[in-house]
Amino acid sequence: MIGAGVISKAAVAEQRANEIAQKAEVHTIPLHAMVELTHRCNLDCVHCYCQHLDTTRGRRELRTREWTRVLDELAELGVLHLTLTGGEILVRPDFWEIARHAKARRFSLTLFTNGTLITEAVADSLADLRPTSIEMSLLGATEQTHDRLARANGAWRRTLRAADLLRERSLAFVLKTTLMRENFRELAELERTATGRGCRAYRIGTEISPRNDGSLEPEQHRIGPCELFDYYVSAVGGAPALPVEQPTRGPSRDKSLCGAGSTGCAVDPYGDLLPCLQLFLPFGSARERSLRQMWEDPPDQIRRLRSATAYGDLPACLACDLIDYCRRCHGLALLETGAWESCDSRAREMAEMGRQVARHLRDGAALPAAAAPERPLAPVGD
Amino acid sequence: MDCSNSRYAHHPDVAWRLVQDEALLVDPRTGSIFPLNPVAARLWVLLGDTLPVSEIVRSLFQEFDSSRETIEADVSAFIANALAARLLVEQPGGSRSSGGESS
Repeated sequence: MIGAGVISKAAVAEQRANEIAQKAEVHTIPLHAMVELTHRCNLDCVHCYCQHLDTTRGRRELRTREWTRVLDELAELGVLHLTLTGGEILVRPDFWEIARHAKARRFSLTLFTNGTLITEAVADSLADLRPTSIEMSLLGATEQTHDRLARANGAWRRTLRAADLLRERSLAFVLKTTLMRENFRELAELERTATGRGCRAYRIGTEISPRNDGSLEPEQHRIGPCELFDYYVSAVGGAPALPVEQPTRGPSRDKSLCGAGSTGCAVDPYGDLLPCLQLFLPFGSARERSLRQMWEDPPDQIRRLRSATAYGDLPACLACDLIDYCRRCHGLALLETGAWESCDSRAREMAEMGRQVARHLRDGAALPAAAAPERPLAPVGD
Repeated sequence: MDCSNSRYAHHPDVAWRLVQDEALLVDPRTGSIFPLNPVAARLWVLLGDTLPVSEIVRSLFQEFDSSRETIEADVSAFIANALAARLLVEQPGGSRSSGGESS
């Protein structure tokens, strides 16, 4: 009747958990949420999408009690996996009050932090909090590279020190690197450095988004097509994750789109409920309506977003010869074109890269010269 | 084992959420996810209320179409497994005989 109870083989448990997640999707229950506690940060990373906007736009971050109410409402909506992110979460003096409230509401917590503010005492508090995961960015294999990209002296040493403090307390942490033109050649050493610190996982990302103030400045740090191609080809079978999309087995038009706004949601520092931190289509403000009201009675633009569940639901994708290789981001499309349903140049570029990699793997084809322009490396400000 | 008077509570580290009539548990110490079917999910909720096991069995017998013996055996096995996985903690004050300990 209860069956295997709580103990079952991992594969069986994973399958059952997926079935329950599908049930959540059918009932539009957001199992995942990202909560952006602040845009403030003690670093100034060159590639970060986050700009501190509360002063420039005259907006005020949610206060402690407002956040705890938002967390209560997220729990009531059904959110299980909650990520607390920033900015830098530890710059908020009330971070611990918010985090402990989240823990008491039985969220599975993931913390995104740059790690530089993690001292012995902070690590002890994290051990008491016992989040499911703590994720920190490692931007370079050397102090020089990391600190130049973080635009802060001593950041590399402090982040690695944080990794040691977390490991000493048996706290699960993830190190991750956004590949940039400035750190691409350090990738192998980065991986050795990260895994040598005892992280649960090391993740590599290739995506760099425009800033939330519309600035395209971070994009100048994206690696070029040649480097991407090299990375993807070398990553096949070897890297922790292969970020290039593999051709789908079934009809491409049935491939699922991102579930932002249906299976997941986000709240920004000022209380706006969003489908995702990258997709600026607000449901409304938590200061004015409850999350449940906004979730169950969303604006038309969210209804349209929810009605598109597969690539075949988007005319731009249905007609595209790269549909097999694409993993579009509605947020990037919205930022670039003003319409989330549109195709954006980055999605197309990455899908084209996926096709080239697939051809290379199939018949040894090289990257066409036209897709491999030479670009000088831009200097990074100190 | 006879644990009819025992009371338990969810381990404070365990994250969980009901999804309709089922549930997902996450153990942050290992990252493991535990899916619970409707009966196990209901049992999990009742355990969280720190009710004595005898009351939990009575509730499940009223709510689900099964024999009391089957429910008692399943509840006992679930609790043993959940204690071993450190998803539950025993509450002080509940009497528990040690005879016939099976786990």
